[in-house]
Amino acid sequence: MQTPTPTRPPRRRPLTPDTVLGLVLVVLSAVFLAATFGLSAEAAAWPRGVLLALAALGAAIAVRGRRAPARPAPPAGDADPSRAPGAAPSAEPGTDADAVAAAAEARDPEGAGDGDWRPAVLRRPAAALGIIVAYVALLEVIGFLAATGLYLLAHLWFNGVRDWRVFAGVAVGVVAFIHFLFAYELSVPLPAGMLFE
Amino acid sequence: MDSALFLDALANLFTVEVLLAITAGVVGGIVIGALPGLSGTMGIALLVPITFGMDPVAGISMLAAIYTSATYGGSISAILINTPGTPAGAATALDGYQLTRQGKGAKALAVSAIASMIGGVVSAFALLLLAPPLAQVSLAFSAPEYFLLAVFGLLIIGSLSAGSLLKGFAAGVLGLLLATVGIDILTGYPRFTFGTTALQSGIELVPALIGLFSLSQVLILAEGRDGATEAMTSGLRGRAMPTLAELKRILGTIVRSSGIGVFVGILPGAGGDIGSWVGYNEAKRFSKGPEKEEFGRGSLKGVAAAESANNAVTGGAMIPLLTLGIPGSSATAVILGGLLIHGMQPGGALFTEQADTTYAIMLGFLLANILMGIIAVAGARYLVIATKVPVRVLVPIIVALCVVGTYAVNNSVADVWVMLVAGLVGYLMRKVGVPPAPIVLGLILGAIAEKGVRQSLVMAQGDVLGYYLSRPLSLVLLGLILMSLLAPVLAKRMRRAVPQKAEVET
Amino acid sequence: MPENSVKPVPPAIDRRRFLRVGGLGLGLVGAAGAGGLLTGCAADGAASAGYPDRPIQVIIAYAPGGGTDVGARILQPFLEEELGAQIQIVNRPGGGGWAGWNEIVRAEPDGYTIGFINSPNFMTGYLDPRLGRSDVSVESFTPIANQVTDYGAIAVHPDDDRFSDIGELMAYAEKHPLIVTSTGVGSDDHYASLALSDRYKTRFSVLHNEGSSDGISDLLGRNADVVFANVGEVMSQHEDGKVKVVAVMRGGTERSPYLPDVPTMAEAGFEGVESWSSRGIAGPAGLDPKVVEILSAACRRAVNNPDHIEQLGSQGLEVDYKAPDAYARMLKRDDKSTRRLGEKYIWGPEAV
Repeated sequence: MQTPTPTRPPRRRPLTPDTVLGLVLVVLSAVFLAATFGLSAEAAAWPRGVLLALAALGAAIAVRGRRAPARPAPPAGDADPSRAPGAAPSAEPGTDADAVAAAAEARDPEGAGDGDWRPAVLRRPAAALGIIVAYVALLEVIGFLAATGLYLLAHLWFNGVRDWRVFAGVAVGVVAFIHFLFAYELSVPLPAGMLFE
Repeated sequence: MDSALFLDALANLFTVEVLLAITAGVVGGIVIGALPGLSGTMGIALLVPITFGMDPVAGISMLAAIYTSATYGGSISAILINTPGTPAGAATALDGYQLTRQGKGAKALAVSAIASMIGGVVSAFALLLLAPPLAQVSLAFSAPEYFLLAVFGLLIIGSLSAGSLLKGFAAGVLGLLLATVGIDILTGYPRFTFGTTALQSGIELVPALIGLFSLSQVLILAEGRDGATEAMTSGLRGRAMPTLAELKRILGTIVRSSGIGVFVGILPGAGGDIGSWVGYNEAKRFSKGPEKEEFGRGSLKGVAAAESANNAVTGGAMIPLLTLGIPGSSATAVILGGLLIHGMQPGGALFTEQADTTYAIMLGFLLANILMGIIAVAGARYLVIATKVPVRVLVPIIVALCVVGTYAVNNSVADVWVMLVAGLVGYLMRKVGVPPAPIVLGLILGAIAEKGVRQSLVMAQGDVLGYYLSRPLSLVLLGLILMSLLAPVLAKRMRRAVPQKAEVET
Repeated sequence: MPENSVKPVPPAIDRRRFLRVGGLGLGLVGAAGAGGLLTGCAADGAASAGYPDRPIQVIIAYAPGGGTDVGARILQPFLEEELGAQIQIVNRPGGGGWAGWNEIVRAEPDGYTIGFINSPNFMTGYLDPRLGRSDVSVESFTPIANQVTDYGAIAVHPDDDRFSDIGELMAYAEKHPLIVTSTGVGSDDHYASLALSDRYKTRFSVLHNEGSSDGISDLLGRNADVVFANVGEVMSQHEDGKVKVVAVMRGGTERSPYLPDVPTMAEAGFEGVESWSSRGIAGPAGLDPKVVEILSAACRRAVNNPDHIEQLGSQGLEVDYKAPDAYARMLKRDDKSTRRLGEKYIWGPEAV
């Protein structure tokens, strides 16, 4: 993919997502490497080899990340002739919206990163994750079935559903399905919750 | 098998009880497989005690039917919602879900059903006709070969990394690292458990898989782009059944993958999860030009390759089980218990004194595969309705099923937290362009690779290189590894000699 | 910037579409139900006065389908009948079994949470200081009843021309190194090979695997020389002539009923090297003796039921009911020998 960088001074942005990723991998390797020192040589040999490989790959990603264009465009090396025709022209400098559109279009189906880290994009996934975390935290407190019902209602509401028939149908349907299949048919003992014990 | 025996076996097979049991096994297996977290192994384990009171042909055929149908069932959720229902369905998700996004979900399901059926039928014939010689092959496989097989499997990462090769390999190595967590079975040292009991048996594959694939998918959908709050597909395009021309094009792939699946299946240390990856990779390797480019972007061949391989594993895994009493996978290990309780000792007697029962079971397995294919093809059009549910309604349902499925693996809430962490990590990694599939591959193959190399050190007692070179199967695998390492280099050189369209360096 | 993110569009859900999905879900439930009808699992809890008046949870520290799980599920209906209460089998795998065993240790000692323990395999988990479980000991459990004792078995390849009986094997192994299989560090099979090396100076290099079938596969493929396993794991291959079991590691001269043609170690002249893997029921420490008595009496009748013995026997598993005190003695013995061998060879300062 042609990058226009040579003609312009690279933007001052030393921390591209790739650099961060690379550094995270290096730090992770270091932490785990430290944890291998309590082991016997035999038990530690393989993990150490794996960790060295991970650190090396992390370093290489970090270095390449610095060299990559400081645009939220597809990461370096993501170029692919089959998709280039559509994506290349719009990757020219332009408004933020253009860049996002280009990034979205060039986004690889297997998730080759869109590099879009703006808070506006991240807000909804973070909130969704929050709802799910609350759900799991409640599992052992109010019991599996109650927590699942509450969670379904909350997440549906968050997703913009306002039709009570959908609420009722999904909550009752899924909870009944889980109860019959897991608790009744497969006799998986679902947590009843501390409140009910 | 002479004709009198064949008729006896048929008479044992075609009773109301047996046919009912097989049908129930097929339907139940598909449901269990499609639900994330529930695998065929679990379904079989819970039904084994119930088969005690049944006729052996009915009981064991039902277990075998669950085994093969659950393997197919895993592809349903993989294709429709990018959530592999079983680890063996992970490779199917790569192309299957892309096909769903293109509105071809029904066709992907039908292809998966047909491929699964053919894979299962091929393996059933291998079981019926070639069991004893194939069992001998499985015995030639030991630690050195498992190590090399794992290395060969890890090379698949190269073809999974649609984006940066560097990031693909980093993901794979991360998977290898995760595989080392837990008590080292060779020395007893707990590694990277950070003082917790939950981690002592390692990072469970299923929670990691569900987190990396489905929860991360849920978070991507939550961004609400690509019009993602609406239905995932704008509707069904075209027909569900693949055309004859399409079938013809994938038939070679299916046959090759079925062979690979049977081979991987007979190995006690490798199961459907590995079989489907190897089948997928070889299908890609054998494809050329635009067809190759299609892999990862919605290739019917990719779906067919993974699904025929993992179903062929099922029959393959029963070969060492019935001939040697060595189960070829965790599901067959559970079936072994069922066999013994019915007084069926694996080995020679199964093929002589009890041959009428044994062959009836094998034919029952064959029948189960055909029945599964018919039910699955017929159901493809209806199953795909799931994708027409608006995403904002579907997502909470998926999450609830993922949570309960993860919990059910070990009845452990700790696993659910592992799943959540894996989901967050998977989401962040997808944002920076690291594909999740290599992590799963590393997690599956890491333990096999490490155990293989360290066991072969014990077995070689000194001269390791000489030991590897003295083993014919090791040499074959070494050759395969070298070939797949050198093939891209050679191909590039040839392409350079014949100038083609502009090539982009990775 | 936020203009770009697509706002969630309110309802307008197609009701018919939604109903169809509901129907699909119901269909799935129906299908699962149909599977259930055919298999018909029914267990109605009949409450009687006093203990037990509600279902009893039995924890299995392994996944469904493992040997312990299958054994427990075979015992379940017999025990339910004797106790007149429902038994809920709860699989808690993980942590090498300690996810489940910890739960037994920490359970309320009211008799409603008990579980299966596997001796001596579970002892490594609290004896090995590297695993950080010094707060647990054999005293953390109240033994209730032993169900199965599966003795160790030593198997070789039938075509091996270096040795064909236990005497020849031991003589050969004193002079030459041999590769022997085990089912993991600290398993009963590992201790069995260590016990031989300790007492008779055999030169065994141990090849650890996850299950006995991997070891048998290595033996059949001539990649290992000797398999250390249990009777139930090699019985069918022995009967089929695929492997040759040369000795059963059982005390005294009474042979295993499932391998009547194989001598015991003591019979062959090798005293003091017994090995077994036993599975029994235990509760947390401090269980009320009255509850223990009710449970062990019910276990005795259930375990000794001829149908139960036959079903386990078909898998080569020797039913061996032990009353609480006899079971406690067995556990103490296992604890002592495991501690000695483990310190010397696995986790002690001189261990390799």
